[in-house]
Amino acid sequence: MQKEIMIQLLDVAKRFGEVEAVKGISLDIFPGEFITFLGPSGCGKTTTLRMIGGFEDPDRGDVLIDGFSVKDKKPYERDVNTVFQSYALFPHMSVFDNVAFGLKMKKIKESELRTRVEEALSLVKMEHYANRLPKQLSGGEQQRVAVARAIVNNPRVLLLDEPLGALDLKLRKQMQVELKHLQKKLKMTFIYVTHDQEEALVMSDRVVVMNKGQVEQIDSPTDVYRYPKSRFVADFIGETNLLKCTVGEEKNGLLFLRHGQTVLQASAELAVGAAVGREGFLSIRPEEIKVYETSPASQKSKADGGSADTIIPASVEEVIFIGSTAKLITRTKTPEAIVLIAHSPLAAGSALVGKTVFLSWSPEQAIFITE
Amino acid sequence: MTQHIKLAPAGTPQAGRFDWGKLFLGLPTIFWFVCLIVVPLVMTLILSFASRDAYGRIIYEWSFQNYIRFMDPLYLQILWRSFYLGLFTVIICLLIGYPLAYFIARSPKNLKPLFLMLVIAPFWINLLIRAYGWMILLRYEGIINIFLRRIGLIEEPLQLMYNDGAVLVGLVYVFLQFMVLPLFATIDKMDWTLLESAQDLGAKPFHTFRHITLPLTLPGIIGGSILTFVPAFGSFIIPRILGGSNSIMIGNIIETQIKTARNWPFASASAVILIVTALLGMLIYVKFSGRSLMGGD
Ligand SMILES: Nc1ncnc2c1ncn2[C@@H]1O[C@H](COP(=O)(O)OP(=O)(O)O)[C@@H](O)[C@H]1O
Ligand SMILES: [Mg+2]
Repeated sequence: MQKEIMIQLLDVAKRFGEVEAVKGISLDIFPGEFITFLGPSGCGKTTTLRMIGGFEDPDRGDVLIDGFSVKDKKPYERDVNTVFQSYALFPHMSVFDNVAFGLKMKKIKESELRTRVEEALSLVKMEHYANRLPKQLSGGEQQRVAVARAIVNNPRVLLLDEPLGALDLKLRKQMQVELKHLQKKLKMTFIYVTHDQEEALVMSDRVVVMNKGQVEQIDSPTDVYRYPKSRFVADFIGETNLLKCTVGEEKNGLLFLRHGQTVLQASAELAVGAAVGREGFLSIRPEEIKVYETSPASQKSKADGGSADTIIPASVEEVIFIGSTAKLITRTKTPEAIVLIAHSPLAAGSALVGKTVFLSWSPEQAIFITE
Repeated sequence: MTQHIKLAPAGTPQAGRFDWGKLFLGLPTIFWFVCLIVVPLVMTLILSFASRDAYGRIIYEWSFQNYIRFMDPLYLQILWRSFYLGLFTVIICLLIGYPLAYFIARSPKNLKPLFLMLVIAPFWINLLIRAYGWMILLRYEGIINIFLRRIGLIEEPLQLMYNDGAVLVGLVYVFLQFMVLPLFATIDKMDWTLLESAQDLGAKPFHTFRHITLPLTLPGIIGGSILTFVPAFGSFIIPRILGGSNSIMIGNIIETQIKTARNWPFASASAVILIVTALLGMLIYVKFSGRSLMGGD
């Protein structure tokens, strides 16, 4: 069954003088979806969002909402609401009047307006603050009011531009969960913008990874993390070991890659477009690398025989504690002396400095990226 | 009974005890304030209750006669004219000044200082010279009349000078910048995302202006109106040059009473009436504009 598309970006592009902020983005967004634009600052996330909201006219391409082009629609004619990064609450109006503003503009009856505003305020747990002015609220409270002011209009789509950017870490984490719950409860389509990869992974149904005005990858959080399609994505999301490689041969579903004289293996199934002789990068997440003090090859049982885990001896150069685990910085004892980062349980960590360990990972965790 | 003794925390000035240090720091300001504002005002007020002899010497006998004399329809009409000319000056300055200030505030950063300088530039030329400039434009054989006759729009020259209209043109021209500058200051510091946010919530441009821009720039409107009204209401050079004897304002009464009639007490009473009227007008205006624009519909 074909899924109904709510918002469609068709090759939209925008330039500001010399700066090409958005270089042609195409994207389908589905009803009830929580989709996040993720990318470093300046990559064009806000500009893309503003083109959906109607605050910027695309230089080319088109934006469709419910199948209709909104090219000629002003922001006040679009059934879309925005939570601005700076909240943009009206300083001369009470919390109640702020939230009621959109309904007043739509000439909603006083009685209905009152119930809807109160409902929206209680959804964000701000019902007791209705008479306050924005300046009498903390950052987190202002943020909630900004959300209430947008959702009270029951828009087809809610746009959120780094709404949690100004909050401290703890409050941010709490609000991430609350916003996600709110979105599920309202079954509203959320288009969210953030440069925080963790935030994107926690909240989204789908993540659009952007770089320099272009889309690098659109996938679920797990897929974006586990199967990055470009070097940029692998590098930007989480931490990874990236090794420059050339494709040697493909055999038994395995890709044999040459990094200097070292031969590494990757799953051929996951490597798209990896023809023999092609250059690319191998990405291995630190937490997927197992660390052994003695060579695991000798311990291998028959049952494991089919798998072809890579095993490389390395010396531990540094151990960094990162909370629940320790991060090992190791240098392989191969001619190339590759620096690899691996995670190890805390207890083992500190004793390992200067020692030789064996690093091991399975081919399914080694992702070959061609670009 | 030691329990009654309360010690104030160190460093906090106790209520009732005078802070001499602060007074000392404020002394120069207080001195100039008293010399330049309080003393002249008090002297004017005292003088307004005195009278004069045939040679213009002041007689210190107190009465309300100067105020009673002012209640003459002749003077009241002049007061009224000053008031409505001041009022129209404010209204026209606001209608011209608001869009102008908005335009400057929205123009690119590097152009703003240039535009502001253009607004202020006429200020560097003497008021008298600027008033004569308007005379060259408006008089019987002036540029406007010559031009209108050239293009055949009129047969006979129009009487453009020596009426309220000419005075109003002059007042607007001279005091426009007092409106534009405070307006620019408030419009420029307004957060533009608030306007986007209003649009986002479905407000058409007019409603955005009515509910967001206008209330947020109200301090500039009030400030600009007061700064324009007060000098316009009390001006005497513009009405004397452009208005002549047909369009006398209260400033002209004060001037003639001092310079020609040598009646300082009556001039003082007129000045007191000018100040009180202006203050009252401003008070009513601030109250009214504050309520009608902020309070809601
Ligand atoms: N109004 C504008 N005028 C000029 N340049 C702009 C404007 N808005 C954005 N840009 C530029 O476009 C690029 C993308 O900006 P933006 O979409 O805000 O990025 P992001 O939200 O991802 O940080 C940046 O280089 C930024 O400087
Ligand atoms: Mg941004």
